[in-house]
Amino acid sequence: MTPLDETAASYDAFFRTEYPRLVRLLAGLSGQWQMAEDFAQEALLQAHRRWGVLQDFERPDLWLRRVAVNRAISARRRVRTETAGRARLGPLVPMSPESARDEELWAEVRRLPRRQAAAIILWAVEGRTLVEIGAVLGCSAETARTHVRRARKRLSVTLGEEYNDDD
Amino acid sequence: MTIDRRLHDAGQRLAVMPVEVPNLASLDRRRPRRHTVRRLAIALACLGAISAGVVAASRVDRAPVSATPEPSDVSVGTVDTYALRLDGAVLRIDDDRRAANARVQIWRNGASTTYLVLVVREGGAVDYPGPSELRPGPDAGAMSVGDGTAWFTGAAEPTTDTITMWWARANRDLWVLTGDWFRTEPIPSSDAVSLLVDWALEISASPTPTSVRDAQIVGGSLQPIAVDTSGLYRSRARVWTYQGQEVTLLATENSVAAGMASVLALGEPEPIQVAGFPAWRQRSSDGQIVVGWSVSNPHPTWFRLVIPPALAGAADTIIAGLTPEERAN
Repeated sequence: MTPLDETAASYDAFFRTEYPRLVRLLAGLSGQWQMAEDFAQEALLQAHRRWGVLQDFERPDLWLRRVAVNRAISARRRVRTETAGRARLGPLVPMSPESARDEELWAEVRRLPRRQAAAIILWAVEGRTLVEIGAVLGCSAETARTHVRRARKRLSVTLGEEYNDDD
Repeated sequence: MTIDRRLHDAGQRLAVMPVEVPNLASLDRRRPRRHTVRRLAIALACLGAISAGVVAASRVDRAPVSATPEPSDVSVGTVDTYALRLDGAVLRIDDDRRAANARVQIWRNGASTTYLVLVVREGGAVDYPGPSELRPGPDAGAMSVGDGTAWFTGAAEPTTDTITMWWARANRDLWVLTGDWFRTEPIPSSDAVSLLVDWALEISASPTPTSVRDAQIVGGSLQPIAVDTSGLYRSRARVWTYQGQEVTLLATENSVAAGMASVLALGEPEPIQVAGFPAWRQRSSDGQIVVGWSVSNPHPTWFRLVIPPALAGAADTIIAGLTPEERAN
């Protein structure tokens, strides 16, 4: 196997591992399964272009999430516009039929300030540690903890759920 | 129920949702599904405009491009009317949509082979991680420039022939400026950094900084040769199956500068003709044959033909097989 083949194979493995995880993560942020697929593929395309460097990173998965989450968050206005436009054309494809009952929760998550939204989804969907969340958001673990705590507290109010501040 | 339990349960349900992983045709040579090709093609079209400056930072081949043609003004129609058919191939996808373009402008130093490419990502400085996140190395140190902070890539060695400045500005825009010195001898990196800073400050001080064709900077030595404005523009992708492989043609309105920037980023282009129009042909580092050309009726439009490595030997035949098609839309 040539070095080029090895590089391609390593990206292939990275893609196959990270793509589904990324789609699920971004589905929570965007509320649209198809948009989540688009965002995930765009982020992985960026990773592909830089794979020669990224494959030597200690945590390329966190770099990927940083790109993808930033992309999804910065596109929230476009997502809202597209969602409204698509709604006029016909019924929207739900984020996922099986998780439709959670849509109320994810909708409230998407109303959070953007860093809180990203932090709580990384925490709830992927079970990321505060250090990892901080790496994705470009902040310290302590700041990540603050984002997660504030998100939980705010969601408990908007959704009428109990909040235990025991972390 | 506590909010933590509700979040945990919802997260678990989402985390086990089935997701079909698309095939990677370029890696395992299996043909991806239609929607995957479409999305990748569209994403490539968008990214081609947005990240032309990023691509420029990763080039490997350097050579003069003085023999390359100027963008053509010959009319062939744009995404509304263009229709090229490919002899011996089966059309699988013909898809169009609107996508956002970044602002891109290119200058050339008179008759020489020095180019300056500017990509403006509006609001891009807000979540910009700095090039150290993209490309670790000692050349990614930040410095204060004008109203913002700039990083440089390509300046680690004493001399360079390309350098990119990433300028996060106070208005939250990210400017990506790439200078190319296509000549035999590279220039001192410190000189290249100084030139980029001077150009950046001069452009930013212009009354109409990034959208003017008549702007002349550095004493009029750099002449603007292409410009794209930001906004939503149509792009259209056609994908053919040719000898079992997929050949993609993308047409994106108002993306001539971005298209030219991506061509410059690959290295020395070879002037050729496609369907009677001047074009540039290059081979990417992964073996793809990439051909670009422009038309301008009524909107400046960049065409990009991508031939996979497996068909590189048939590239001449494929390019010659592209002919205008009588087609309403």
